[in-house]
Amino acid sequence: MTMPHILIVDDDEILASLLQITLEVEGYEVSTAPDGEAALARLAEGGIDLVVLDLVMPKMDGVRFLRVLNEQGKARPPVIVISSTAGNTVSDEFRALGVVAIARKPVEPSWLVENVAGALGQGAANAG
Amino acid sequence: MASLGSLALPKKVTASRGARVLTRERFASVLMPMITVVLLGILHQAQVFRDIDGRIFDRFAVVGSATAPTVVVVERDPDFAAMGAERFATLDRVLAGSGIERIGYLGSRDAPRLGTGVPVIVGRNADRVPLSGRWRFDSAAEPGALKAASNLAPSEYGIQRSQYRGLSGGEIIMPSFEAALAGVESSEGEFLVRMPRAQSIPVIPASQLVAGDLSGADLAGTVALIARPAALEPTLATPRDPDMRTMSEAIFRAHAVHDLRTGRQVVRAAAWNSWILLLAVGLALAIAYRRSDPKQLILRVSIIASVLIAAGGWLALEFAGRLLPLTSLLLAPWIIAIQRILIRERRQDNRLEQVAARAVQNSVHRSALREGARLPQFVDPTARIAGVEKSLLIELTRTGELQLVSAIDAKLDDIAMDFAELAKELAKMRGRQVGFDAAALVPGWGCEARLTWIGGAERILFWLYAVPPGGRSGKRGQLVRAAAASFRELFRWRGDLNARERQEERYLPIDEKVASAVSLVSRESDQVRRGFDTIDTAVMIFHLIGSPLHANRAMEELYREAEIAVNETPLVDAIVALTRLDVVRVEALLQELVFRGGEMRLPMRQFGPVERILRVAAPDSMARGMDRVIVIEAVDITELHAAADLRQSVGLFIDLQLRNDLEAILLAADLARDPRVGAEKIGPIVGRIGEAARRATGRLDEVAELVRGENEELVEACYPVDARALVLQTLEKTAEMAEELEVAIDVQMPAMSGFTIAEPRALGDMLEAMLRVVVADTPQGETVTVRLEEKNSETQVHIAGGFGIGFGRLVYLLTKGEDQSVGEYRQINRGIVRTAKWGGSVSYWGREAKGFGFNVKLRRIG
Repeated sequence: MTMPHILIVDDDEILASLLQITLEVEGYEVSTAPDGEAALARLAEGGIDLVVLDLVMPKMDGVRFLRVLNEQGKARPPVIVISSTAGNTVSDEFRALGVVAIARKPVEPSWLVENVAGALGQGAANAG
Repeated sequence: MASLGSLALPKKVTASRGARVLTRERFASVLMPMITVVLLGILHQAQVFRDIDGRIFDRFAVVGSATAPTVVVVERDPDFAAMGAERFATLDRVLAGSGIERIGYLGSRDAPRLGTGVPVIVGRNADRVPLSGRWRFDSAAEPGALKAASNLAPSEYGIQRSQYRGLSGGEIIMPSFEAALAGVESSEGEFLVRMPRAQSIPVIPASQLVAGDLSGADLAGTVALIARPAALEPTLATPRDPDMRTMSEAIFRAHAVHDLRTGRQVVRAAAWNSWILLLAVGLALAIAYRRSDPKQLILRVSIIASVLIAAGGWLALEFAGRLLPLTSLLLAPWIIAIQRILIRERRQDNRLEQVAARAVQNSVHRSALREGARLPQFVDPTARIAGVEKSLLIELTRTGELQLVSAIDAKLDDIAMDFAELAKELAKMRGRQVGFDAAALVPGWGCEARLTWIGGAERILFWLYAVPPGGRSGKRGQLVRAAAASFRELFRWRGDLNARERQEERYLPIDEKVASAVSLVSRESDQVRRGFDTIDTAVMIFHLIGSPLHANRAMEELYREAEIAVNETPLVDAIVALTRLDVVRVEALLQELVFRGGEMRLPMRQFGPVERILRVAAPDSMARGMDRVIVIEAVDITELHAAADLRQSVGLFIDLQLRNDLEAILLAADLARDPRVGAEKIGPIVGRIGEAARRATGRLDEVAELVRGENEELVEACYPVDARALVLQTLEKTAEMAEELEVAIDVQMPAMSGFTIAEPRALGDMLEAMLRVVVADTPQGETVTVRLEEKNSETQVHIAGGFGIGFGRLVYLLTKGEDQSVGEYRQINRGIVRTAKWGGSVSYWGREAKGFGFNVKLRRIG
């Protein structure tokens, strides 16, 4: 059985690496991308089950990433947004773009782990 | 404005004092003319003007047309005298036969009278009864004839112009010869005799009448005045020829008889008539001058009054036979006019002096002029400021001694000249406007020195100083000369202003004092105005009624931007133009302000990049009596807003950035505690905690440096701002223009942006100016591109479109400099300079028919 693969999209290298370790400890496979453009490229390679996304990034910000992802019309993995500029509730607009959870930094690691597990479960159920 | 105007009423005290002054002036304006005419009336009654009035009568007496003679003079010629004793009886008979009405013998006829039926009058001299006003005849009665007084009225300064009509004989009136011969009722008093040059009086030799040679002469209805040859000799100076005795007594009498017979005799106006006329003229002139400036009316009123009086005098003479007190009447308008002018001048002098004193008091109450004794104290500091190293301020006393007033690094002993000799030389220098080379006077100083008079009338002061390095024509030298000239001027003004207080100059004209006061006030006012102009804050002063008094340059510039006239716009209109309030609201606010005093602050419309509020201030009710002004002040609050923006932006940046760092620390700390994490990973994780902490500290330091580092002024500071929000604001501001020109704007930018280093207002203004010039150059229906890109450490704003401007032309427009660039290009030019200060850059390109554009690169942080 292969473990779910999570893509962390954040331009903050320190934070991205710590998020990666946190999720790897939980047994997930984790990749990182520094901006929206790189994330889209990685998604195009396939095998990503969940995206943990920051919103404010250079080149392509998180919101634009979500729009482009949705415009592609392919099956998309669920997205958890963790951002300094975000609120703590998922708006309809974000929900429509595939966001399943949202949190304002800093988030408790337990919340992250919990929501990642939840989102992956939900994604598996949707896939099943 | 009406409501404001009504508030400017003077204080009650001032009003009542003003009313008293006005009442006093009005009363004086009536009283003085009346006193004048009364004095003239008294002089007239004292016959001071009798001769002048007589000479005026003379001018009238000799003009006019002739009438048929009603009297003939019959000369008792030698042939008649030789005719024998019957000649008188024959003459009476001949005259009676010719229809003569009366016969008058001037003097005795030496013959008994025969009854002819024609009344005969014999003129005999009457004598004044001593110690009484009565007259009597000493001669015997004339049988068959009426005896009448043939006395001639005394001449007036040698001119015979009047004759008696009757003389008082006690209970009866003795008729004069002329009155009796004319057949008119006699009365006491004199009358003036007219004798028009055209009027002829026939003279007939008695011998020819007796001989019947003049039997054809028409003498009917006339009276005959029979006179001896001596009475026909020219012995009298009369109005006809005042300087020569060319008229005979008989002809003069004949004119008198003719006047009486024709009713053309003239009498002088009675005393009560004269008084009434003079008072009437005085009253009329008082009314004429009551509310007008006599200086402007003197000629007009006086000439008109004189013409009217002359015309009235002629009418009275011609038709009423009255000689009016013409001299008094004609003098009245001129004396009253001069008197009014003198009073006016005096009052004017007093007012000028008071006004000058008040103006000076207001101007100099804090200056050196207030206390003359302090004036010299200003010399030393001024000298030091100008770089004078040695200075002696010397006073030459009234007793001719020299006294040291003040000194800088020098003493009187430095002067190598006998003091008594020097005092004489200095006395000669008094009043000289130029200085003298005085190096020889103070050889010990070893440098160029000057001696100049700087005193006024009160103190005779001389300034001996070492010329500062650079010589007289150097900047410091010029400054010293200007200072010396200023002191001379101040002393002179003070001397002039105090002139009236000094006995010897009390009667000098006030002109000098007023001129000095005006010069002083004008100079002070000019200096205040210049100082006022240097204030950055736009300030304007209005009179309490709302009329503009003065605006400084900054306010004039603001008025220009608001497109209102500085000198013509009332307060309410100005406030309406400078704010977004309507007239009703502004008037209500001003009414409240003017009633209660204090100040209010109104939001202003934005002119240019500067944000302001309008402070309107009025003196409180206690001070309003003196300080009748309202001041408006456009206070620049750009810095306040910049400070608020800075606080907000920095706070937001710190919040967002620290959240990332805290997130990293939180995650790392949790991992470090997690037993599932191998020991080999703990080290790097702890290392990440340190990195996150250092990064957070670094960001805080960086922001602190940006905010308070090189830029001391808040408006010059740059800090992390949201570039996307600024671009959106720019698009919003230019949307209307683009819509009007039917130009589309293609906007490409992220949905969220990070932090860019800039000053938001300056960046916003520059982006707006760039977008405007591009939109303005873009053909209708075409598109302008606005793109915001964020890279790792750089934010780019790209604005492009337009038909195209040649690159050279674009460079020219943008690099003409702050003073020469116009409109939007000036704004872009300023922005380019500012962008460089933020560590960014602006590039631009252009080509005709290919469009043009700007690329703004800015530092990105976080």
